[in-house]
Amino acid sequence: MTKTLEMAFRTEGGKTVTISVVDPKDGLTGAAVTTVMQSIIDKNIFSTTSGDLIQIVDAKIRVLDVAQLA
Amino acid sequence: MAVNNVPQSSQMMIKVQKGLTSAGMPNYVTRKYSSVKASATDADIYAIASGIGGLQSNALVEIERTNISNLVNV
Repeated sequence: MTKTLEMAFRTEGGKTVTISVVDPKDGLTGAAVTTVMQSIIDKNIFSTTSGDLIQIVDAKIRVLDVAQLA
Repeated sequence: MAVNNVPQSSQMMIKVQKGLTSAGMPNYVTRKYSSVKASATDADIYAIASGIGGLQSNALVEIERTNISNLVNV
């Protein structure tokens, strides 16, 4: 089972861009994640084809479960 | 002839330790984030890498920055 934190941002050009973090901590709170997301927006270090990241859209944890059949 | 270094982009790599290998050595894994602005300061990249490192469950070992430039003859 693998878990990935997906942080979605809106760009200047209106597109949604996701920054992923593999193996998120257990018990991660929304507040902890949005704090990091806001600092990503404030420090503006990432570039995209549709401009800067300007807004938090949402944050999700995606869980992938694999059952081997044969 | 003068050669200029024209920065294009940077990459940020977060190295974490994910347990041990079968031989008992530290198992290092690097998480790479491309599309970092060449103009981003070291301090800002370090801060974001630390923040991202703090969201995940493995021990943060190292933060690396790679810079990619074009060399142009003017």
